Amino acid sequence: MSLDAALQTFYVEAQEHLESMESVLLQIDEGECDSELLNNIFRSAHTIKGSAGIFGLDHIVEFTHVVENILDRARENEITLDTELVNVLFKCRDHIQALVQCSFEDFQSETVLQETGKELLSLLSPWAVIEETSLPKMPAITDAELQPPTTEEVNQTNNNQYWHISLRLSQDCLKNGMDPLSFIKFLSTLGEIKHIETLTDSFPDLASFDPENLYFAYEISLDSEADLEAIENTFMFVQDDSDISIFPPNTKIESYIELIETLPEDNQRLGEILINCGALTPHSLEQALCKQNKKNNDVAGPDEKLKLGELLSEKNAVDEKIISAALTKQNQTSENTKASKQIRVDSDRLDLLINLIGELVINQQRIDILANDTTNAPLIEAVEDFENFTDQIRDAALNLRMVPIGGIFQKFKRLVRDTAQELNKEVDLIIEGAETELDRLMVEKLGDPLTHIVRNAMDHGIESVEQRQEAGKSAKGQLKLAAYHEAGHIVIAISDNGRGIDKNKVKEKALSKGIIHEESTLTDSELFQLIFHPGFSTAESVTSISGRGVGMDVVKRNVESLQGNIEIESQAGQGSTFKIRLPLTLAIIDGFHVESKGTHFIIPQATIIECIDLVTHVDIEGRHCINLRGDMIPYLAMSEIFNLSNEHQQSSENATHPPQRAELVIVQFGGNIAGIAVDKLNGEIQTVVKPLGPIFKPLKGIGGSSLLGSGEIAFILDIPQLIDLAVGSEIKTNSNHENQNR
Amino acid sequence: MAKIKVTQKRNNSTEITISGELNIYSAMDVYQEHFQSITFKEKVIFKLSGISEIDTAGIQILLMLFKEVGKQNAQYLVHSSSDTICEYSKLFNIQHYFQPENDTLMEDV
Repeated sequence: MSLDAALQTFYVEAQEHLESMESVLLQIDEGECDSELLNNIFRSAHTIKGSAGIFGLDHIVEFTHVVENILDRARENEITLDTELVNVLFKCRDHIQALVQCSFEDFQSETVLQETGKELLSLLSPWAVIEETSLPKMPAITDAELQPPTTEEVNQTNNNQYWHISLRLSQDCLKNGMDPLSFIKFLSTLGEIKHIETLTDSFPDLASFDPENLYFAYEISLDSEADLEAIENTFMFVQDDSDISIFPPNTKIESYIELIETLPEDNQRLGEILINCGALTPHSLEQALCKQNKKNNDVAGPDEKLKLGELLSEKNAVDEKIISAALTKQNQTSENTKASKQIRVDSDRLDLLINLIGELVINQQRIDILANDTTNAPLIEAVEDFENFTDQIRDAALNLRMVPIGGIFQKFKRLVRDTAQELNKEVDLIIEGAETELDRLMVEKLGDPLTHIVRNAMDHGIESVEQRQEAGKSAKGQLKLAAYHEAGHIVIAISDNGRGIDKNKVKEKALSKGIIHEESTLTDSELFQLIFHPGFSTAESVTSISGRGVGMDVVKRNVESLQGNIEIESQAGQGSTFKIRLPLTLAIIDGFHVESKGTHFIIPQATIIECIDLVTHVDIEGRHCINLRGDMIPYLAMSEIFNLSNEHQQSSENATHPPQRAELVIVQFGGNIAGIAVDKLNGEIQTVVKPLGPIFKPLKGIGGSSLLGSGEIAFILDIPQLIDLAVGSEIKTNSNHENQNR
Repeated sequence: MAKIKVTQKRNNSTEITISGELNIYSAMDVYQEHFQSITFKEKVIFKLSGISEIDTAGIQILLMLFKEVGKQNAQYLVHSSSDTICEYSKLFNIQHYFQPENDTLMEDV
């Protein structure tokens, strides 16, 4: 693994840990606080610190170290996570996220970030333990002064209280971008390095020296409160090819003797080194060696020497800490197995797959047409099977891009919590339909619009506690995020039980801004749509959260760019609901192929209710309106909307007898129904959506284009826009009629 | 990139001046071009004050050279070191390699 790839993994993993930290903090904030949660959040902070240290991202290590210590104290029940601390920890988590997103070099010039860090550290200080390293050293053995022990006793206690780490790192360590320097630096954040011996024994001759190999070996004595797992994690990225032995404090002398035996260096020299490191005393080394000799002679006779390692295995030399570390490791492995059921795939690869399947679908249609021309029954049957499988492949591929919307909903927990605190309101967030799946691209683009609507609902919708109590409502406001399927679309509804939208206020504001005229008569839903007008804001005061009048228009634009629409329902005093309606996917859709004056159009199948024969229906009062089983349905003639003339017609037969608006396709979007008048219905077709270039952006009613099996271009109709157009023009003609009648 | 100058002097000494970044990126080139088959005179003077950055690969080259000096029955002296070397050698407890081997050698320089 190259360093860049490893670093990339670090970023991805850090992000996951940060998300997990956030969700744990939210749980703790809601009053759930058990040791498992505390362990979880501690592990997250710890892993971020550990991995950052390996990459030399010291700015992350320094800050996270303090946070980790506090979490550790909470874990050990030394402190409790009260609301105040949780608030600070939320900020710390955000700061770590900012640090992760910023390289070490950038951090040096980021004064704002540095300041925030300092500020947060000072906020954390009441809960933090003042670390030894940052204090002037206190005399080490105060107890010893009270009861002077013998020299050997002092040696014994001193010698055994540190961790001993023996490192024979992989020779390729340097080549792989892992410099022991970063490990040692990181170890010194876990505690104090009491002694280090750098061994050069394995240096080869000058001629066979490979400057990119690592020849150094290290024996390290570390004074640290950290646990075995923490120290082991330091070497996470190199442990595969390296020999790393870590001895906790108070490890039995025999273990060291075994180490000396297994290491390649000269035993006597190693003994001296371990004495230098403080792991052994000359006396204890001598004693252990004597014992070894004695046992060898007793058990196996002088010829057959027992290895010290074998001797050790008879004893109970395993420390409790080592057992617990092994258990943790086992648990981690089982977690890893779970994770291995999922594969991370670069989203570009998925997009490529979808594109290729798009091409496959077009080709399949071409084959379909060619096969039908042959009237060769077995061929046609085979092509039908082929079509069936193409459909399945398409669906399976599109499914790969589907992600549950719950992911973004979860993020709102934090937003709602913070905003409520900021506004001094009490708000409950209810999430429904988190499992509803949506195209990944849409989920990404929905974040901003949703954030805006949620903030707006909390700022303007939900009242303060006093206002709610005055109005006879419960003190706690309610905000609901729901997602569900509806007629081939996904609906995301954001509703609150606040004060609702004041229609009069909206009207007054729109009048004062010159958005509408005095005499305009607007339906409720039209009135609410004014909220999305650029520069519109009814809030009396501009807060940091909302009310600047930029945003809601952006929300609408964003939703529309996803081929969706947004609808508002509101009842004064009861609350409001914002409904965002989105297509399931943007890449390949089931379409209905129609023709008008020789131009091909595709109507998204999900929007179609029925097709009727237009000739049998009569226009009401000469307007583009028909009576369908008692309902008045406005319709649009494609040939008129797009100014299609007979010149476009390719079939000469049709040119002589142009069928005028023979067929009517009834479509629905949201609550509106309208008809689309075309010449010819060609039937269902799988449509690969190709976006139109920016030059066609102003063109209303067309959402994209698609290549037909015959090689011709078809335009994909943007039904929401067309329905707006039909309903709008009907209202206009209607009011003209009324004026004329007067 | 590291800059290396090896001068075989008439007073029976070899002077090695290294400056710039001596790290994993330059280690192979530095070794192959200058040190792979180096022979030392009786005294070897290392001038290292120009080294602006050093990592473990760089330190290994220096220690390899120090060892080679001994093998060729010569003596070495680090005439001048740099902050980055001092910092590294302190951390890894290898300062002794960078201290003058004997004072008489120092007087000659």
